[in-house]
Amino acid sequence: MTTAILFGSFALLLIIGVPIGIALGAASLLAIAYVPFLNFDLYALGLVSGINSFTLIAVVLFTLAGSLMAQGGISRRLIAVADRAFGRSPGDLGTVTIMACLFFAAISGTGSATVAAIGLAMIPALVERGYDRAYAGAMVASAGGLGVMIPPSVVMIVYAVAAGVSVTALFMAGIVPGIVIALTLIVYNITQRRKMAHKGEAVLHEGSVWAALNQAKLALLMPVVVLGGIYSGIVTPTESSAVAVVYALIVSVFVYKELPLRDIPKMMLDSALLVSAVLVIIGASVAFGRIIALEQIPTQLAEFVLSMTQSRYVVLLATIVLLLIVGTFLETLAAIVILTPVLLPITLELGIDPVHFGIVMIVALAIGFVTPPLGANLFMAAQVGQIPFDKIARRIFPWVVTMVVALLIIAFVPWLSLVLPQVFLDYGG
Amino acid sequence: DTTIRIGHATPESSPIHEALVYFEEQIEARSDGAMQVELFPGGQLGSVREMTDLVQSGNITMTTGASVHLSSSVDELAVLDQFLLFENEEQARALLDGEAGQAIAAAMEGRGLKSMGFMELGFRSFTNSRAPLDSYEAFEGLRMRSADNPIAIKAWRSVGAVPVPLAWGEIYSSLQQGLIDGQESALSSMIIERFFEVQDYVSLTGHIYWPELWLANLDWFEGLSADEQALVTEVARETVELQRDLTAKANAATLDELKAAGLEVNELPTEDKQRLGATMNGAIEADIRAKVGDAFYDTFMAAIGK
Amino acid sequence: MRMLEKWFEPVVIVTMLGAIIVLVFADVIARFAFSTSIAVANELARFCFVYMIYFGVSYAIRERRHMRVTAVLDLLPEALRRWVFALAELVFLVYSVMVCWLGVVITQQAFERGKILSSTEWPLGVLYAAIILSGALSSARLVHSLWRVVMRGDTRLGPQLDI
Ligand code: NA
Ligand code: NA
Repeated sequence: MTTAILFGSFALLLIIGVPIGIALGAASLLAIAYVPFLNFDLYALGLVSGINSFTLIAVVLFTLAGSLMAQGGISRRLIAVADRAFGRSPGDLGTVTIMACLFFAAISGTGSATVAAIGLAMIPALVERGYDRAYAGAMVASAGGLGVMIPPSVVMIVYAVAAGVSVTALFMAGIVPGIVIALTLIVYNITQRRKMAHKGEAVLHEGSVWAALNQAKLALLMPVVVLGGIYSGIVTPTESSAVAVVYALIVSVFVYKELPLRDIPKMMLDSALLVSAVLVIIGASVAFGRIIALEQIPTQLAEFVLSMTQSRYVVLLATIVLLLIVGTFLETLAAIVILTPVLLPITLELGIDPVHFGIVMIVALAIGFVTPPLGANLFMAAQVGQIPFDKIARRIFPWVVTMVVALLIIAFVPWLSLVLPQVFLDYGG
Repeated sequence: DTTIRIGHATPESSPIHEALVYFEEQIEARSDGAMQVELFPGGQLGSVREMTDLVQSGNITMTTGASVHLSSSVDELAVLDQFLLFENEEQARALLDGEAGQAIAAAMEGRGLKSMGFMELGFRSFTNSRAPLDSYEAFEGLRMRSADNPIAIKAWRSVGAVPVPLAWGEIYSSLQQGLIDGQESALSSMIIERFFEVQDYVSLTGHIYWPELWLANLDWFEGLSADEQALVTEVARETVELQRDLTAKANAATLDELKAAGLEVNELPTEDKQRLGATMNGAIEADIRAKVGDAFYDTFMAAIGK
Repeated sequence: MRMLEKWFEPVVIVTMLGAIIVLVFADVIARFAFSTSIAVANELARFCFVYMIYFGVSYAIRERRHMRVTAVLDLLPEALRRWVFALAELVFLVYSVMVCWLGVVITQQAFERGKILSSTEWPLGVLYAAIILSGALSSARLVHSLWRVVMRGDTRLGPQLDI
């Protein structure tokens, strides 16, 4: 009965348009009212303890760093490097765009900043080269998901907190799967590029790769500083996110001088509001997690699922289907904080590695970034590319299929996720 | 509601959980099923602090936690943050089961918490890669990890050590990087956290004894019938005894493992221990007194014969 | 008054975020350059973070930036959509009033039970008060938002951005 109240009222409140975090909170309050031994202060305590986390601070700082770099000349220099290295390769400017998203993903923690940074410059350039505008928007929206698959990633941070695994291990585990996704996107674009008109010059910039690398050296040094600091263990992920903000500020404002100091408070406010609107779910989810634990719902679900199947592949496949559906309607972090405590006991029981499972979850939810109706990256691409939302939405389907194929590879070959943490962090060894 | 819900933050493999499973079996059997026990291990209901809140407001019945994590809820527990109060486990157990423990239990009742007894995390010791810590002077200049706790930092500075506040999860990599020379922890942590891989010496300093407090909601306990109270108290006493035995066995095995891993193990002579305790406790006495109140401080110290 | 309405939360939010950056970064510098550490930096940064998020929750109501599932709302005819949206905002309002009240409850409890923050040794109630303030500000913002929906039929949403 508690389960029915909790999930039933949550669904009902979502349908009438109550914000996601608030719907979860109100559903939790109803469940507390129903369960005799629970008191309402359980809910309020969770609102504070859920947010009072040093690790979660990295979410707002990586978001801010991403937005500073999107507008500070750093993204332009990364695009120049991708252009000179890949501009004449098959898939030409499409390959350049996806590679630029990959580079930018290594310095940005979010998908939306990646779409904004690369889409703003690349969508017009793609159109000039004969790409269809909606196709270009769909491509950037899809490749923007790399922002959370390649470290640093705010989604990984939230999963790490929810599942109790190491942020550092997760940050390392995402690299190879992220590259797999990028490669499949590049291949899909190459197959499509043949059917399109070719206009204008092959490349955006003249000059050697080395000159571009030299100009972009401060931007390229950034992942070395930020990720290197985390991987070598000399700074925590949160500390490195503060370093990333300061680094991005110095490079954008004082070295490249492309970001006026007076714009900074507005960008800080924007990042904080974005993060507040998504992290409100974390505070609400604490009481939710406690209620389902006290009612032993995850244990019962695990027993039920394990009585149906003992195959980790069946469970992974079912999880992927569930996540793709959920990702269509829910925001990413909501899906993570609601589903992780429910699903993790099952996967642990079956011996699925929690880091590998996290990567599967994150990639599946990143695909949700581009599935309508609630596809955050589609909104962002529509906005920066000045394309009607429904036009991009109509071109997105083949990109989604491409990413789902890559996701299946990532899900069924755990080695792709675990090889780097095993080699460099002695993870699970 | 006759269900006893117990949350704790340690894994299911810990002596604490193992002992609580005994508590569950015995309570259910000896009450003929009239009382039920549900265990929520591994911090699934939150941190020690959060679970203490949940116990105080009656959402769950019991939790366990190290005194150091509970002194922000019960000020008086800060007396246990002092160094070298006890000489060995037997003495610590006897004193905590006696007047000293009663003083602490009374303080907890002032916060709506009933003490169910003192489980044991045990004495903490050092690992480091610089030199064996075999004298008072050996601590001079030792770069060591400290909890982010002003009183502990002050105490270590008083003997010339250089405490570096780091989160628990950062210790291994900081040792590996040489950011710090050593760390202090329970022996079991040296194996579980794999500190032995990056350290050369284990020094059995036994500089502080940590009990694992076991607390229940006071109103719940007082609402039980006399028979139920007697049953719960008796089974809790047996549970604490079992937990202490399990911990002692685990510690003995751990020391052998550390030796087998090639670490050099040494003791700290008694007179150096006493000097260490005197200096460190002297440095923090005023802070501790301010936190716990002079009356409580004097009562507690008299109870342990200091 | 109008200035206060527009700038109160933003000033707090940006100040808190600025403080977080300074605290965390200064702690890193202290460790590398001076081999020491700012003992209270971690706790203060978390304190600022809680305030930043909960003031952000309130201000995001003004900007209608909270993420919603609008798939069903969008199918409704305009007249009905307005009332369903009003109902959603009303649920949010009731929730916020309740959160404000629960904030008062836990803050009082924390003071009564003598709870403190471990590094700064500030009363824990000072941290819990973020919930009271957020609940109260959100309630006021929601009354305004409801007025916009009911009186003016304004159901426009801000950008529904994910991260
Ligand atoms: Na990233
Ligand atoms: Na979606």
